[in-house]
Amino acid sequence: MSITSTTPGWADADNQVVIFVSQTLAGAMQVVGVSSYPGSSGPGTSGVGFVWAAFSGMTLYELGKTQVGGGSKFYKIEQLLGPTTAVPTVDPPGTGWPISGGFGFPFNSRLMFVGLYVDGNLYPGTGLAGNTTTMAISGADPMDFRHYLRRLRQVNEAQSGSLLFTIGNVPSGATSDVSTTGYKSQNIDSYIDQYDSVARARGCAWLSHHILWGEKGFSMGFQNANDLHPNDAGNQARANDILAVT
Amino acid sequence: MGGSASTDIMTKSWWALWCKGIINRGFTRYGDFLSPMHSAAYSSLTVSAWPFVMDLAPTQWSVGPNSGPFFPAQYTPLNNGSNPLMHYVHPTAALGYRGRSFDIVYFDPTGASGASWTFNVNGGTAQTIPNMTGGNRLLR
Repeated sequence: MSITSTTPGWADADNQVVIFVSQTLAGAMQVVGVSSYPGSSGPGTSGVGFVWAAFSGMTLYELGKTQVGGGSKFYKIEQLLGPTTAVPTVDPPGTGWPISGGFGFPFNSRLMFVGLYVDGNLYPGTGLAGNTTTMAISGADPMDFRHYLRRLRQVNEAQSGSLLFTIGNVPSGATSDVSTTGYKSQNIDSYIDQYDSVARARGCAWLSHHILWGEKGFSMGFQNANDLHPNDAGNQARANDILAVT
Repeated sequence: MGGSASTDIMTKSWWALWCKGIINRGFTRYGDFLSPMHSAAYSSLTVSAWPFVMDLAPTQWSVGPNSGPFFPAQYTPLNNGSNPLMHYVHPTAALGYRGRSFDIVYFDPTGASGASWTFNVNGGTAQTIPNMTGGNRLLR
């Protein structure tokens, strides 16, 4: 559903509000997100678009879950990559599944940054999330992870696009100056291998703060001693490094 | 990794800073896509402005390709729509531009046909979205 200047209630104002009012049945309203554009008649044809799809560190947790109605989250990503008129019938999709990239924004950009971060990766098995002692989480199988990294690149490739994998730093906890209590950081390399594998096979790039910061994120000033998530300085450093190659 | 340990994920995360940096080079802004997960109902982070507010607590966060809120019952708001399911406030200051048009990306689940949901803009006339067509697909 598009909202433009002809929609009742619209105003040329800061902080416009979209109000999701009612539903006639349980689960009828399942909003995935809202895209916003600076123009009053919808999106333009080019420019920088940014997708705040989720808290990236939670992505593996999210993708590893079975969603309401069945099927994995990856299956829904696959659906986004296909044309809007097709309905996938198997999970994962069969070999005949198209990769036309028909959905458009928030997917299918010509220049994609993909950072399905793996700080909470817990596969195989399950564990407790780092910030709670009650939420058991399980990450995605690394080979499933690879499959969908490849699918993202294939769609991007079909549009003559470019893709950069932005890989965050997950210190070991054992020999690092950053504690990773609560995370199975010993599994991180198996996921990073998948980025590397797809990048080599499919001609795209990666930028790894896992390499740049390694076991010294705290002494470098980019991570706090008790948290593998980058602090303000770490976020600024990551932004600067990515800007330098874009 | 996505900025949750920054002091404001909406403005000081690496992605917000990258976006600001690339715009400052003179690129035009296409737009932004924000998930309902960016709400206080999902995250305990303190930020300058969460774009989504859950007016009714969802019972699950597990619909769509990324987690979206699931409301478990038929719902008709009281007081002529002043207490809805949830709402989105465009974060003009955080994103750096006035949102003048929008797309709602939603999931049409398999289920009873004929179901629908409604939204409005700034309290304007309600817009009805027919849903649950059996499509089991994402739409906008």
